[in-house]
Amino acid sequence: MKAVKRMSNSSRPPKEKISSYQGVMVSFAITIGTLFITMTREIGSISGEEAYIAVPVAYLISALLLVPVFIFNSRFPGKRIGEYSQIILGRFFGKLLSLMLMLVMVAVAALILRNIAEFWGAALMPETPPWFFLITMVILVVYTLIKGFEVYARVCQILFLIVIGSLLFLVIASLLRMDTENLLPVFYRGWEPLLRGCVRMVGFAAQYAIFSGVLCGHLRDGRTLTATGLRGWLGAGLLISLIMLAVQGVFGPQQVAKFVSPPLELAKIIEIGGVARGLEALIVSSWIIAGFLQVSAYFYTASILLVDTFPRLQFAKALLGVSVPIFAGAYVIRDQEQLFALFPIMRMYLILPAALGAFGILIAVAFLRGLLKKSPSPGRKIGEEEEEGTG
Amino acid sequence: MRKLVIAAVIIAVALNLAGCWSQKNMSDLAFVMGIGFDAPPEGVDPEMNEYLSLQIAVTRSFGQEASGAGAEPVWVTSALGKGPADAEQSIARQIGRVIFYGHTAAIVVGKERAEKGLEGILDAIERFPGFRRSILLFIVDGEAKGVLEAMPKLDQISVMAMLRMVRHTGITYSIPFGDFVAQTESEFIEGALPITDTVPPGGHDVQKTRDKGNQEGGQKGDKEGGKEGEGGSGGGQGGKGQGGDTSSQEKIIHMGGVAVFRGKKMVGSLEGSASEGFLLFKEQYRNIGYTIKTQDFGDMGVIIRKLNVKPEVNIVNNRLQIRIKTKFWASITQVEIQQDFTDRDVREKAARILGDKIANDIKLAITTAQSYGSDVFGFGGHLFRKNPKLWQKHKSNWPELFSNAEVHSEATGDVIRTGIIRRSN
Repeated sequence: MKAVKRMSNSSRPPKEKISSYQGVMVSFAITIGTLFITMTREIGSISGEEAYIAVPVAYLISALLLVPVFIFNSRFPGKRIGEYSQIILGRFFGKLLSLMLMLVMVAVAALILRNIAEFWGAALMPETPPWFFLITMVILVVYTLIKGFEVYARVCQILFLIVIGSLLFLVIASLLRMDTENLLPVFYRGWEPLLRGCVRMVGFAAQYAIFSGVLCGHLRDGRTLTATGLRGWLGAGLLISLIMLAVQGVFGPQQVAKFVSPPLELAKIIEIGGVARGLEALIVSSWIIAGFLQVSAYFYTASILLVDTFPRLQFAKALLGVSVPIFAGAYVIRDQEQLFALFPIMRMYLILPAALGAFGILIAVAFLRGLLKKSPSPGRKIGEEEEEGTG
Repeated sequence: MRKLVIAAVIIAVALNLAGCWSQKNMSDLAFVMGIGFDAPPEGVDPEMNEYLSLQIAVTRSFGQEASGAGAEPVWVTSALGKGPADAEQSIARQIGRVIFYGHTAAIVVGKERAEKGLEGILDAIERFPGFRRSILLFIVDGEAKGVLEAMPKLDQISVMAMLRMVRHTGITYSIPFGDFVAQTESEFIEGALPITDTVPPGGHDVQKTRDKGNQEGGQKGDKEGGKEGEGGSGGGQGGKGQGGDTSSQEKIIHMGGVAVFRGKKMVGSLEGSASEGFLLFKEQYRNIGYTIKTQDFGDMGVIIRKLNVKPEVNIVNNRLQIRIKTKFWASITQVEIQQDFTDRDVREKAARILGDKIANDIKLAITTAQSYGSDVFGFGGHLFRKNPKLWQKHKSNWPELFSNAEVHSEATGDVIRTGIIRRSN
């Protein structure tokens, strides 16, 4: 209980509140981001003909990973995972858990940052060295986030509409080139390819679950988290499923597995009326915006988890503190192939176990301590009860 | 501190306003319009496997053209190399500019080179981010360099004329580079590419007639010349006839048949009716004139307005059976013998004749491809989608199965229009 008392007296920054709509757009930014750029290839190579089925199925199934986030949000309204973990597990173990999640997010942010730099270089500026993209992106991210989460949410609200527009345009423009023969036959190798594709996607859902654990502390109306989170997750799932369908329908599973980025190749062949060509520069530019918004969310999650672990640390210092290892992690990745090899390893063997472990422990301990029970007096929050009790 | 940061940002931005560090001036670039690959000439270093030609836009001539002065719009230069990249480096050393492929419209490969396999060429093109997968690839019945050097009459640049032929007139097989690569790498279908060549401005048939005439006339001339001391008459102009001069004439582009591949190696071609049958199967022979020699109608010209080709494949007693059902909708454009198309029987008869011709052409295309063991129609893919387990069982000996397949082709359809007259008087 001392931990709760200290937390309430700490000098952490006030929580900036965002609307449910902004929450959905922020969710889109982290769930769509640059995921489709490489994920379509990964799932295409794993699931083959069933890839376009694996993506929506995975999104639907892995929504279950968000259930603990929703439960904790209803029990600890307005609190982030880094805060309620200290209430449930106690100060030391709660901080340990936050620290572990922070390190996981730093590692993921490093990979995503490098992925954006590689994509930026490969698609638009092949002669520019990766460090330039890394530094540019880190400066932009720090500049945006230092203004606060609300500013970031507003940036998402405006800029991510462009990204959604470009993705929908790509899907619509590729309809004429789609060949349904590339989508058949399915399930002739049994369920294994579909399940393997789904498992790969679940690792990504774990990332989103951790982020949602942070997002829930920022919603103006905490009760809307379930709707916001599900809208963000399933809306992104629908969009990525459409992209997967488009690339597989146009190129076929064999070619999709071969490309570095199937959506980029799709963007390069789009022609409207045999006249409008070369639209990929515009489309790709919007994807780099998506990458910036996505990596910003990871920077923020890592920083705020650090602040929750060390409450006396200012957010700006925490942000700069996580930026250094993220930049270093992104910089030391040797090449594109190493990056592509690290993604699945990280998702399967680091993020997924970390998220499952963290939420599993929190659920189990909260259950044993009776913290999952409905509050006896409606409208009162468990955190408040305990704070009052200790005061 | 804040002012210092703002000042630093302003200085950094101001310094970068001058331009990007990897800028390339227009005058430093060589704009490649077309790329040609040929087999190296005889007698060169055997390590030199590639003979690359680049059709480069002469940017200086664009200004001269505007001022009325005539100048060649493109310049074709060639170099030998151990591979495409090496040959490109040799050309770069000749021209002293940065080779820029952003405007490249087509890639042409000589038949002899294609028969050796396109592995290195396809890889180099596919790997380079500057090329689009929608770029067009052609096989040249002769030298690729000749096509790049050809001077079309209605276009300034030969590759532009080729693009127009494919995109707008639809007279030849149209397949983007990316789709061709996918075919060559697929286990369900083999690749096919359009064939092009060059002819004198008079046209391909004239050239052929002249060549034939030259051969015959030459032989005749040799005989008669031996007797009378002068060349023969007729189609050719004796041993030193016109045929010898045609090579130095201006050439224009002509689209021919379809090159057939196994893997990435060209193994044969579909010409004439077989080529038409292939285009019909691919449903690319639409809104194009189609001429049939018939007994009842004389020379009958039709335009196929719509086609619907449905292949069915099955394996019975370890033998592949291919059944093609084609439905067409056509318009009559010409008949030689007077006909009353108000009579339904006449229309049906015309449709039957056309149906037989379409069915036979498609069958001819398949049987010709069978002789090369190359399933350019994608029947393997049809079997895979219909019965994946059966495909898995037979895919290892698919070329053999395809070559020995039993082919049935039938076509039915309607004559939906007869032009703006109903009967000829």
